[in-house]
Amino acid sequence: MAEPVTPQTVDLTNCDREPIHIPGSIQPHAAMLVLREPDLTIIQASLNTTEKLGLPHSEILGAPLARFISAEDLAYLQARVLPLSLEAVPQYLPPLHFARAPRPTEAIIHRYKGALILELEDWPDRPALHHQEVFSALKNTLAALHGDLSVVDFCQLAAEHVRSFIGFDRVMVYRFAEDLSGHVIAEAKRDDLEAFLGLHYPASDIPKQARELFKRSKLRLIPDLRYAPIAIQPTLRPDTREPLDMSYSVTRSVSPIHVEYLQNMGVFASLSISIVIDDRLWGLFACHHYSARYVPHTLRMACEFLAHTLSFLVAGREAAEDHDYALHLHEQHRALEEAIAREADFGRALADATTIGGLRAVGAAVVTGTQIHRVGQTPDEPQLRALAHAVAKTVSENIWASDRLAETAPALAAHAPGVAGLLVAVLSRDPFSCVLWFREEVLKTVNWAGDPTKPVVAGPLGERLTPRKSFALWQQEVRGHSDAWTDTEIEAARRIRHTYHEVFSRRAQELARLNDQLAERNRQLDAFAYIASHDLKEPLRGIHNFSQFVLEDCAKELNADGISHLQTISRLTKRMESLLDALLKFSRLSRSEMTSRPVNLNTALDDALDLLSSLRQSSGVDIRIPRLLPTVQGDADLIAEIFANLVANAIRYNDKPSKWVEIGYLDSTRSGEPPTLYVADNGIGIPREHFDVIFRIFKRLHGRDDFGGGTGAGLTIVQKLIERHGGRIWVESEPQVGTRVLFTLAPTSAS
Amino acid sequence: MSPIASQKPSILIVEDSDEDFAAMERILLRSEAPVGLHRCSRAEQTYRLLDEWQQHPSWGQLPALIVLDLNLPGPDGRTILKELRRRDATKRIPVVIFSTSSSQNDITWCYENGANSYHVKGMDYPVFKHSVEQLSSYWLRSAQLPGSERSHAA
Repeated sequence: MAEPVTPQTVDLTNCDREPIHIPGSIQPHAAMLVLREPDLTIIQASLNTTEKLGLPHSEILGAPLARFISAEDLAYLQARVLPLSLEAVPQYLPPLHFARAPRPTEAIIHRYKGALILELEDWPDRPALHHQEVFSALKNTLAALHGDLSVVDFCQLAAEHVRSFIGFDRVMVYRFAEDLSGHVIAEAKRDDLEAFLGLHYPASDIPKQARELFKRSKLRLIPDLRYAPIAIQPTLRPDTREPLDMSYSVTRSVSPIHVEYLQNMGVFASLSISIVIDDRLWGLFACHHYSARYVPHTLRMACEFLAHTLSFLVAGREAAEDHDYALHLHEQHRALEEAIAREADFGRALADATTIGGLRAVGAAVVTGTQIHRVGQTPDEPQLRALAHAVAKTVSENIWASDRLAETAPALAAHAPGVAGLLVAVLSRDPFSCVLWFREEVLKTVNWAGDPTKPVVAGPLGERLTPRKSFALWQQEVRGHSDAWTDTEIEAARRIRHTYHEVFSRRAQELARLNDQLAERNRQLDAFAYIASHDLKEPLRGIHNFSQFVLEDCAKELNADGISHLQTISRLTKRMESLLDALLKFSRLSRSEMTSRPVNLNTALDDALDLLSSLRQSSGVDIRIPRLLPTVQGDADLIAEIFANLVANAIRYNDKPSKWVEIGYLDSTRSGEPPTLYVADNGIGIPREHFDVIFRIFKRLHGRDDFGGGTGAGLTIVQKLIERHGGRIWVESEPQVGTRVLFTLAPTSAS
Repeated sequence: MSPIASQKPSILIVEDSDEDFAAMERILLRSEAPVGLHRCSRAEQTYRLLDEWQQHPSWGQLPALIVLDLNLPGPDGRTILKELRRRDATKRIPVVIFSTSSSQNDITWCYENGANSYHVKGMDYPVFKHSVEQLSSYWLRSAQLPGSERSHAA
């Protein structure tokens, strides 16, 4: 049943479950009367009514309140107070003077769960206060609390003013972190006291249900911690048969654990006022006094008012700071969108134009496929590559953030030395692209008030644990923590990802359109080449034939020059025909079907060599095949054509007395890669500056009739055939020594 | 347009290029055994000539050989070849193709569709001359053709 809570019945193992809202007792400086409405019959009362009100407990229980207070006070109560909604909202009353009490008591009243709870606080040497004094002090405080003060400055000013109101030795403003640990962000204190400013308190110092109560009941006062609780009798409410819920009671007896905690700090009197923002316990004023001290109602009201004002100011200031930042991020995003319009490379646009979205970070990087753009302090490129790889493997979310990387994702931290905070926006998964923002460690040292890892020690009463006794500065080296990533920043990252996707899909569409256009132009070009060369042949043939007719019919009338000129015309028409044939052949290559089957390259080479038999015989070339060629996937006829062209070139462009041509292949360096084939010769070689030119159609490096007088389309045709296989061709050569033409017949990762 | 009635075997040349026709004409008219020559340069003209020819027995026999160019304005030589092979009156007449195209596709297509031989018009006059002379002597004198004994009116 609801025995008064004593140290023997609660320990820290059940501290989080301790029902602190139904202690069944109050602090001894007050008396409590629980009234039934509407007749205001006293149904429960603290056992100290004789001492505080001059009324024995037995006498008042069951009696109407009217019997003990003046008709004036009763009328005031009934007319002015009870009609108010007192539900969970304690209302201060003017001091009430019970008939036989030694002096008037400060009174506060509220309703909760059907009970009207009247608390009567009596403190012997209560300082006399003038309302004017309090209100003008409050006015001064409020006047100071505006302008461009930061949140911390606000709190510091408020702490100082609260201390000047209540005269406590120390007034601190705690701010709760996300992990619910407390951090002293402002402090006003007696000069001779050790400063607590900057200290951190572990979350366990204020149990969960205490925080919940702090949120509801915004002010608690313990004027003297060295007290014996006074029980409420009867222990259960007669109407509900349940313990009295004292959640909103100011004089409720507090948890013995809390008392002991404060006593271990040397504190005798404690006042705490909650700062609640958006239903969140943002922080609190924690006021300590090193001897007993009471705070009169007028001052409490002033402090509550101040705390309430502060919560509005802080909320406004935080929102404004957040708003400014959000605005900044939006501007940066707009700049990014503009940059993307100008700059085709998303990564560069992000890195150059906007320092990667404008987020607060020491550095950032954009990894798009194999490209990396870095801004500020980041891991080096190999590390970034490894990091992106690890992100790809371990992060399934599109936006991912950590402010303690080593702790939450050691696999990622391994590639990011010195990085404590990481925000990732995954742009695409194939190829893996992402934006990474980095933050460094912020707090190298946390000054804990006492060792937070040992919040409890075994107490003198055996098994029971007691709150930690030492609050001496205990420094913790906190490794790898950064500032937390805010919702605003995560939203900005999401927006960048969104923009990337918009740009990407727009670009993909654009690319597809250009591709179609290009394919169509290529088709038209091929058709043009085909038709043009075809149609050109007809008049050409006419020229040829008619020059022949003249030669046949008029040979007798012509002199030697005339005959020679006509023969030149005839020869030129033949040369033009071979050029047109080459052009036709080239244009046909891209239009003809290509089969893909396993091709034994030895057979394809034999076919090519057969075609070249007369050239081989006339040149006396030595054909060398050091080892059998492999079998590859491709079109046998086209591959034979490649060999024929390359071998013919190798034979033709050779002025050595003993010519050789070698056909072979290099083993692929990586498994799955196609072999590199080559045709090498000891010919005239090609100067380096001509390596590209030789693939241009009809481009000849030599005189028209030198080296067999080809059309100059051979290598262009070879290149086209190789491209159709997905391979590539390149040249190594030393003039006068020889040439090696290398090619592959399938895509390689390098190409 | 109407051909002169003659018992001489004749050749119909479908060719749009005047120069190419001139070259063929020159070669054929100068050969040892002169032949009758008819020329059309378009598909419609070819069909009309053949239609009228059938309606005028006095014009004598249909041509013994048709020389066809593939690239023509309008319906091309391929269309004409199919049409010639479709018509009863012409389906037995040998058709030889003379074309600039050396494309395997073209060559295969023509044989598959009833061409009797295929020749590429090259840029070597003596070679061209030789093949035209051979063609004429082969089809008009060596080869026995179905039409030679056929009564036109039958």
